[in-house]
Amino acid sequence: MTAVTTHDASAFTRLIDRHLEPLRAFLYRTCGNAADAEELAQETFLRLWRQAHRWQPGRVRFTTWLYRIGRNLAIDGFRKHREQTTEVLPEPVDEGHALDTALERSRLQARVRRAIAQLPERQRTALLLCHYQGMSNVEAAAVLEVSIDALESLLSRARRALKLALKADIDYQMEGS
Amino acid sequence: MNQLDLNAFERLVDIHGSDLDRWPAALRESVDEVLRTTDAQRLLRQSQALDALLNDVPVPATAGRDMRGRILGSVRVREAGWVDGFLDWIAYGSWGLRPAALALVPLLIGLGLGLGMNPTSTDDSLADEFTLLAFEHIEDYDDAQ
Repeated sequence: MTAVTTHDASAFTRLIDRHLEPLRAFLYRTCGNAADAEELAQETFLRLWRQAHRWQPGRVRFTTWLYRIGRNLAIDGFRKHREQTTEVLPEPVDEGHALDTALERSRLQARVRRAIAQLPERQRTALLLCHYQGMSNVEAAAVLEVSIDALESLLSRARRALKLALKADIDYQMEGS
Repeated sequence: MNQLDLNAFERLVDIHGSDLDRWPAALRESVDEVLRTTDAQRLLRQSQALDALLNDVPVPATAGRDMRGRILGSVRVREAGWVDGFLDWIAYGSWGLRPAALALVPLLIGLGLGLGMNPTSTDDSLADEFTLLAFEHIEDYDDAQ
């Protein structure tokens, strides 16, 4: 990242190679739309390039800064659109037909996506950063600019809300295991 | 284990997830006792089921081709245009200098307008036009004679 602050293009390329896919996945789970996630990821890296001179090593970790930019852009986008465009698979026309395993799984995934999308923004981001991005609570708290206690409270509330929203599916999973 | 312990365990599972290997070492040791109860085991299995559901949600592959190329292309286009560069600087540049730069813009516009309206040059051009008109009338008068 230090090389990127001097606008070193090859260093910037390496950063993109390393962080683009995880960032795109985070943004997809944040906004629920693949095309928007790509646009946001692209804009995040452009902002990073333009503002690279402002990054201060030792003060904030690079990943913290990157995800902070991405999150802020996603929030701005959400405010502009006003409502999220979550990609949910269409329901089958005839509920009476036997559903094959793949379709049932797709519907289950849609329910999980919907449950995540319905979480308040900060709870959702806390969950995404810790569960999917594998960040420690300290790192996730830095991205959200909250204390570790606050982050843990957000995580706890997010998982409890998901357990409630997906209770039937969780019970089904527990019966099967 | 009393009710408070179970609540505390549930909170810890909610904070750190169902994979005990990812918990801080100090906490891992403290839950061994708790996990002997069926209630705690049920809570952990419930959290594991939730994690399994979360892990089963895929992220679609990139729709557009070569995202890296597009990002690098955008950076090059931005760098090439000084107008875009200036606008970027206005939008994202140093907070200290941006107000000063913005205040400078109307000043420069004012200076440009002021120089464009030079009173000396305006008078000269008007005088020339009057002179030409005057000669035109003299020629008409000569023709009539």
